[in-house]
Amino acid sequence: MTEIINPSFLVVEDSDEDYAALERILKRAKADVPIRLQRCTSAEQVLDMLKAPVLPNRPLPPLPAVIVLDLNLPGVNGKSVLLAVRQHPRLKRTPVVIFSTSSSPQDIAWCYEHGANSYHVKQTDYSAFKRAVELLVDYWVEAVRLPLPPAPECLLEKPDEADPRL
Amino acid sequence: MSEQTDLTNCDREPIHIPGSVQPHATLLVLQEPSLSIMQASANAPERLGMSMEELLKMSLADLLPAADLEHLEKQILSKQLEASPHYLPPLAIGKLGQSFEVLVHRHQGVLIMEMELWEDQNSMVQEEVYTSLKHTLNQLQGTTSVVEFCQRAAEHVSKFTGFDRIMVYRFADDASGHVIAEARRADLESYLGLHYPASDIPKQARKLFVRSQLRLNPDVRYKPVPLVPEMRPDTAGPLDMSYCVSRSMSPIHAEYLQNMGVTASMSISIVIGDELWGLFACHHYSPRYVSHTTRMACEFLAHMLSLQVSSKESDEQHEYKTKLLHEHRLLADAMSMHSDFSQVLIQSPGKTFAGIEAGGSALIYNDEVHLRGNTPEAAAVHQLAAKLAQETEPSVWSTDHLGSVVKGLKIDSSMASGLLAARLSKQHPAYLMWFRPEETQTMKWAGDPTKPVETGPHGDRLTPRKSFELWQQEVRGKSVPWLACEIEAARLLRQTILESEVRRAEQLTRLNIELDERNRQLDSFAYVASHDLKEPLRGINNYSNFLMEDYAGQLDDQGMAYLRTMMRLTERMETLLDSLLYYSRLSRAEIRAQKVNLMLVVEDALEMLIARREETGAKIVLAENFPPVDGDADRLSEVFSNLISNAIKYNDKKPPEITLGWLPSEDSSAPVFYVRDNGIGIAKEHQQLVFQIFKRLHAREQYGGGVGAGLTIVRKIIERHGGRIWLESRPGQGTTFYFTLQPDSPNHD
Repeated sequence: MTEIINPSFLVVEDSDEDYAALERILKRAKADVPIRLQRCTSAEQVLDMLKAPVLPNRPLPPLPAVIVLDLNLPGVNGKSVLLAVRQHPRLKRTPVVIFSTSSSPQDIAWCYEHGANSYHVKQTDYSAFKRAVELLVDYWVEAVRLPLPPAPECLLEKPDEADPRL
Repeated sequence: MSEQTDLTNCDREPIHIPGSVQPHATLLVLQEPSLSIMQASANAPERLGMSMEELLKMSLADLLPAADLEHLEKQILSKQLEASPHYLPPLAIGKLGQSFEVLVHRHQGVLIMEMELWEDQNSMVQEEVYTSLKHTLNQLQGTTSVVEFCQRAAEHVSKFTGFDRIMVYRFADDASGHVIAEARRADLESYLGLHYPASDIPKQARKLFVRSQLRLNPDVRYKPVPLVPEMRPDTAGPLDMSYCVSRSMSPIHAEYLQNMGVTASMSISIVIGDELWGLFACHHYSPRYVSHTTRMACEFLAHMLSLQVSSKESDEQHEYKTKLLHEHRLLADAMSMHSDFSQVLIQSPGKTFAGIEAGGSALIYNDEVHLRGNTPEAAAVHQLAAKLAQETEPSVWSTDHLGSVVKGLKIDSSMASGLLAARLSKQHPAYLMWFRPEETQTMKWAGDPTKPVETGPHGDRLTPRKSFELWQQEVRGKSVPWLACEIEAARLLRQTILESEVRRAEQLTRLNIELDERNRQLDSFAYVASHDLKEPLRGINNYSNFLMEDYAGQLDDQGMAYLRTMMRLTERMETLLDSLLYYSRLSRAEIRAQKVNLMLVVEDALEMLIARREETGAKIVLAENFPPVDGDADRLSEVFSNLISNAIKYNDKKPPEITLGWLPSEDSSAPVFYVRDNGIGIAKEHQQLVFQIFKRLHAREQYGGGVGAGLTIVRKIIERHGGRIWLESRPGQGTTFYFTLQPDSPNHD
């Protein structure tokens, strides 16, 4: 089993409480492996990030190992994020894990149809929720081998259309 | 004319060529322009003072003073004299120098001159006649109805002429006559209201009535004066005397009048357009001559009457039409506000529906009969509607002799000889009907109808009473005919009813669409709301756990108990939200129907409940064979497991006994399934409540808890299959839930 140093998660979650719970469980799950967490609270933030140009002399945002995506987001739906990620040249291979309150079979089917890697229903039962997050870490951090980050290690690149100001 | 002429052959009697004149007049037939005499009445020699041979060689010039002849030729003969006799001032004609009142007209190429001795020289007081006529016309203007108008006119004609009786006849469409006005000598019996059969005035007489507006018979017992020669010398044919005032009358008519005891008569036609609308029939019981001037006045009056009657009648019609329209508008307004047109009709005031004048009305709708006024019995109306539906095509249908048009009816013709029917449905016998009684029932008697027949000089045939009996025979089973505006009113009402029904159906469809849309919105609302509610719930639960994990050491047992309660409450709330979510998802999800073996479905359900069954020792009795059904096996399993679990749960017997079975349907509709228990039962007042979501009948922790969504979900699943669920229960003894899985057959409900 090859361990990835400093695994990073991009969590797309608008609920502070849900994020707090996720963070708490993630951090405690593998106290020995420091997990880097990045958070977006809306689909727009993610989409902006995906479109953002790479600026010289600026540290590149780290590449997440896994994207944890909530579906019910304010404004643009989480489903748009999934679509955008799957079309992004660099991120299209990154695992996307859905964490949603919705247990609707249609939602579940849709997400797998569009490239989600797994789908979790958020439980009110804390221990069930905790177990799900622990499994997530165990699986995506320990059990599987993820593709190597493209070099240079950058999350984002210049968009196809050059910004006229540059 | 032959003595054998009777009612049946008088239609063929050539009354326009009698070949003779009445003795009060002398007739000359003149050739133009020579004015030579071609024919003369046999009384001419005596009146003019020369022999017939001499006369027939002469011209009019030989009989008139030169000045008069010149005036005649210049002023009169130069005019259009066709088809209408022209009154001339008194002239001295012939060798005897007697003064005659003269009428001339041209017809079929000859000039016909009728001369009457000017015996009553006073009749020249024209100013008096003129004043009287003017007064009469003024009075007529003031009348409001046609009948009143005719009554006034009759009185004036009576005053002008001095006849014993003046009747105004009105001819119906079938040519029968009806006395609508009368002026008579006080001691005479009234004929007002009497009807006469069409045959009383034969067709060709009717034609002549249109051609010449006035005819006088001063003495019906007269001896006709023949023309000499008998035939026209130029054509060798008889002289057409259609426009002759002094034409010799039909012997049948003369007999008819004599039977009535009438000695002198005069008739003035009331012609509207080319139609004979009516007649002034003037009777006198002794000989009576009416001077030219008076006749001119009468003719003028009749002419005025023709014009007035036509406008008065259209006024009367207009009034009726306006009333019909008004009644229709009231009904239409009420129908637009009321959902059920039949209630509007039934509650509308009036003797019949929509103000159409009739004896009675009926509405046949949804196999119910509503009667109003004088109508046949409901059963007969039912039969009539069924027959009409079979036999008649037009949507609005009318007849004035129902019995002879629609055979095999058990309908009293005195009640319903006339029928106006508007069909409301093509599928069912649904009709609006108006009934009219037999015409003899509607007739007004002026005299005593039982009075014995008066015998005339030629036996008792054709006295007025006899005429009436004949008429009665003719009109058996007939009603007053329907007017075009009445048929139109029926058509309009039918249209309005059908439109209001279509509107109602459209409204229902729209409401259904709205309802569907609202249900859909409600469903998605439940869906979204429960998601959003779950988030804070999760937060509360999570933070309670954080507290327990991080601060367990700092909390005492009480604090920990509070936290646990908090977490339990959040879990309970989640269960509620999940049920709501599931319920709303059920409304939207497709039911995947396929052939289902219910036996397997029930076994599946029982397996799911194995823990509870073992725990309670519940005894389950299963029907041998369930019939196959179309449905969604998973959902049906849910139905059974819910019902069985309720049966176990709400049970205080040891052990609970549950029977699952089905009843074959009585009439090929859906089989009925049931789940019966010996449990606590459900009170009557709660039996509908159990199906309401989250409606609980018991304390939360009693009977094993639960959120109260199970039966709501069960009902939803069954309804999604097209079936229905109901229950029978006796508190303390148990409950049976019944359900079907397909719609009831329509004739079942």
